[in-house]
Amino acid sequence: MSTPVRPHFAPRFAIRLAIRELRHGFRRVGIYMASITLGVAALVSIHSFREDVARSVQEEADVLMGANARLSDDQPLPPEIEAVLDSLGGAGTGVARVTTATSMVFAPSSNLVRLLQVRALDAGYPFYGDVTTRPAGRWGEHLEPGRVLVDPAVLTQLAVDIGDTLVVGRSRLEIAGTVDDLPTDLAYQTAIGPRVHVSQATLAESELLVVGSLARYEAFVRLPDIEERRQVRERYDSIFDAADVDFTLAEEQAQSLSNGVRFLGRFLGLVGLGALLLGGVGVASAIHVYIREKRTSISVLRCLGAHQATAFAAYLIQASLLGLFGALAGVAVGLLAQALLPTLLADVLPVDVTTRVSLGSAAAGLGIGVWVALIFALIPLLEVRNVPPLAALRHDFETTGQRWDALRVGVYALAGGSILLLCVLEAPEPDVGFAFAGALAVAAALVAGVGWLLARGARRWFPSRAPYPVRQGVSNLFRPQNQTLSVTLALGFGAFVIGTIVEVGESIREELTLSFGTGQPNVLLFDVQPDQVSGVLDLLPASVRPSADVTPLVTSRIAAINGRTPDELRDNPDREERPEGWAVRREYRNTYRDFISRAETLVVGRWWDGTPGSEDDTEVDPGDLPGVSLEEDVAVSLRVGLGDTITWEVSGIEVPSVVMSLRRVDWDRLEPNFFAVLEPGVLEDAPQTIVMVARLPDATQRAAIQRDLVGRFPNVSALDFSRVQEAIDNVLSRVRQAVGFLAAFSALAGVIVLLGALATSRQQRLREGALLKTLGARRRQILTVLLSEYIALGTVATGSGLMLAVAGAAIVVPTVFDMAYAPRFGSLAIIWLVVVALTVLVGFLGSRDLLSRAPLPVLREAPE
Amino acid sequence: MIVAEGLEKSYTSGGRPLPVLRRIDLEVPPEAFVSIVGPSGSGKTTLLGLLAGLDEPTSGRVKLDGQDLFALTEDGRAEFRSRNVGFVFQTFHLLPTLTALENVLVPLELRGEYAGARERGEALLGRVGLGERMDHYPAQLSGGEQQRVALARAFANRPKILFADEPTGNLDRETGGAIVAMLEELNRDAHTTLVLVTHDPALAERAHRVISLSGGRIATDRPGTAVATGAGVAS
Repeated sequence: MSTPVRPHFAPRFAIRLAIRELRHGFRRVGIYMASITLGVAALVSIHSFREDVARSVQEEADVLMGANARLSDDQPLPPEIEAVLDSLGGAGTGVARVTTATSMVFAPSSNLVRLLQVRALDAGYPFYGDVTTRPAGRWGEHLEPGRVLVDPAVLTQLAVDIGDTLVVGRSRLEIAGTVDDLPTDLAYQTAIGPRVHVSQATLAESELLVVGSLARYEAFVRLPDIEERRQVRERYDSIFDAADVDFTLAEEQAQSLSNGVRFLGRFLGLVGLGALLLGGVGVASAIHVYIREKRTSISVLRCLGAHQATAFAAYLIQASLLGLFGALAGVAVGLLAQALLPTLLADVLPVDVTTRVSLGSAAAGLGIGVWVALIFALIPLLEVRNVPPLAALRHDFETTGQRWDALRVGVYALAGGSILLLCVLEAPEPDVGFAFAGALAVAAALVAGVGWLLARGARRWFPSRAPYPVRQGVSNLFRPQNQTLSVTLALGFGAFVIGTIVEVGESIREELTLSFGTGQPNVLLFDVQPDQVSGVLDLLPASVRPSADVTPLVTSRIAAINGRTPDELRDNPDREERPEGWAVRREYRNTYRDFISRAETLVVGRWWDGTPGSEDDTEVDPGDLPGVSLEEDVAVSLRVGLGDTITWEVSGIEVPSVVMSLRRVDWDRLEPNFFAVLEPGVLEDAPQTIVMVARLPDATQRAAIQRDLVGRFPNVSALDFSRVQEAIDNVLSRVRQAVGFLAAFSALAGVIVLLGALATSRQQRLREGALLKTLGARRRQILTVLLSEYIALGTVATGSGLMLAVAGAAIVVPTVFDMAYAPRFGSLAIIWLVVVALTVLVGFLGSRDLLSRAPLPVLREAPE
Repeated sequence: MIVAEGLEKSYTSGGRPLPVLRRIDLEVPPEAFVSIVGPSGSGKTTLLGLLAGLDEPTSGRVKLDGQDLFALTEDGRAEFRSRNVGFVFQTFHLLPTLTALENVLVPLELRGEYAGARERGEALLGRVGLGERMDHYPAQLSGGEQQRVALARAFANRPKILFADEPTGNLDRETGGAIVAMLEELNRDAHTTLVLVTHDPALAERAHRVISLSGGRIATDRPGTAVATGAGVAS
């Protein structure tokens, strides 16, 4: 009467059981979904934000440019380009010229002066978008003689009001109103110098623009038809190219404007992914707890004849459903949080970003969330297979070790592969994704490893004479079924992310302070004419005068290298010998002097006075020609070396020179640096402007100089670096806030892992507490045990995370940002304190019934 | 019905084998009621586990209903149990997240038997006196009620063999007595072979046959006194 036996998988039963179990345990296990919720929320808010930015920028492309295409150059547009513009204008196409110069602007009423951008505009510009002025409807008044419209910041910086007078160069202009919203504005552009808007005629009258003045000359063209734009490009491209004038379409500008933000968005995406993966650790820890609790039920099912796969499927379905609900909640939270990022990053975004619910982002977040929940759940779920039916008869029956069978290997490979894939998909470039995944793996392994070492060390070397409750607390890190590792991983990883952000951010801030700070020049005077040098120097305080650097700038182009013209050089078929186009065509601002500056190192050849290069001191005899010293990288781009001849064209005159040395330049130094420095004695009489750099530690001195300059030398501009520093600081702190916002998701995920870990040992703790109470322990002693355990746990976790953060910053700061790094123990200590306080708080919240429950009922409960 | 041949089981403790069962030979005919008794550590539960195929012996074999259990894979044995074996545990082991009725349905649903399952479950619960509490969760039932649900579950799949491990161990004497009476009645009606492990001498003596274990060996194998006096269960 034997029944034929064949393994039998019961999917319908598995589904029923899963739904029935969830119905009951949903509220209790539900909290663990929150770890996935947080990660998905972070990802969805980032994805939606990226889409919002990309869409807003593309939608606003024409408005952002104020036109459909733009021609631009840093010198007046040459006649052949003007001819093209005239022919376009003649055919009815809208053309508007915009000239932007930087100048000191003086307000007689307040006696204040500021470096501002002076923008001269033709009528009609911008062709797209509405300009908001105060009082309303004043846009256009800047075209009238003697009138100016200003950015609102000008009013505050110069302490003036509408109706007051501004002195711009030789012109006195009445403020007709403020430009509150110019659609072509990029918030971060105006951060450095707010603008005054005038007509082209007013700019000409002001006499701001002299030879060599720094200015940008643009022509905006209205070509609404995309076909027409293409035709214009096709027809005139060769002319634009030959004149070296940039021709940019609105959509191209929008694309490049959003590139930076896109990169930032991608970077934030990785931080969000980090939060999600931590959420995965939370899921793994929660499912581990869940499966341990369900051990008896599973063994009973096995006794009753359930196939391994049936039991496994039942719990897999539960984990999937939990992941699905968690991810759904995350999508909801993420869509709500989506509006926060544009607000946080408003100052670094190119446009006002409108938020829109993105089904794609929501679906991606949902899919990724469920997938991450599932792969992380699979690892502890494998234990279901190992629950023996015998465990129903014997509570103490434990299986021996883990089986490393094909399925387990497959699950781990799947998890690793999925994480790698997600990293690559989220990263700005695949390389970054691979690096991030690698760094993640190394970081996780190191956090866990260091945590383990710290915990072992605490147990081994903890003073044996410490009070019992403290020793008991520390040794609890090693209780059976302890979750020390997963808590260390989660909290430690959170501490690592936050610690790294703080360390790297602080390092950058400190370096900025150094660059702009003590001893460094902080005022740059430019567009000084040669005959104005002594007059400008006289304005400086006597103590500063000797240390002021006076550097001439001579605008030059390359006429020939070793006798071959740029065209001939470009036609060289040998790629190795052909110089790079930009290096041959660009406009050089060269200088001449007899000394090597502080920012330079002579590497190859010899200086005019015979000073040898640090790597090669070959001496070149230039014969009758003057010598030139090139920056080493531009020499490579030009394919020239010692002894080669470069002929410069300076205002129509050819000046030959021989390469005598190569220099390495520290471009980060805030002083004028040069690709080419010529030997003194040749360029002194060439048309040139002067740049002066000085250090004026006193802010009132800086203000006074700026005011005096406007009065006596209106063409000279002064740039106060401390304002630049403020602007960069502002952008940096915004980015840090955004990263911190996402890192907070990681920290919260860490807290949820902690909650899960506490739940694992809750019964054990309850029984232990009851036992201690029975043996005569007072509440305070039990509190001490708990406090010691949580402080030890928090310290171990944070300690490992912060150690790694310091190591990470020590690598990132010098290699990526090229800055020196030293740990900031103050901020590290604060992070430690906060995380430990959080651990203790969560720990106490999770164990409060340990103190309140009477011992007897606890001890009488059957052990699980 | 149940045949054990040369059954041995040892665990490794501190690197040395620790024998728990030594050469057990046993034959239990269909519809018999056998109790296994013995002091703690004598190997009762281990023997029950091996007879039910919950664990693998170090040597020897077990045949249930002609099937060599250890010729099957673990899943094969599970499948065999779902068709032929019922269980009652000392701590009831109801699934806490399922209602009484849902617990009873588990063995049927595991076999994919959905048609008529609900009716059978309701009838079984009515039979053990819980017709009114079918939708209660285990936590809402007393110990005796939980064990009655477990009995209903044990008989749900019409097992040929029922294994009971200290079924009254967690109950007071009166409730335990009621449970045993119910177990005997169901067993008689369903023509099931019953193997019962117990500490309770009075309960053990109600079996046809009492096997006493000591040090992993069968010390005695004799008829139950209740049977001898005619107070036991007739097969």
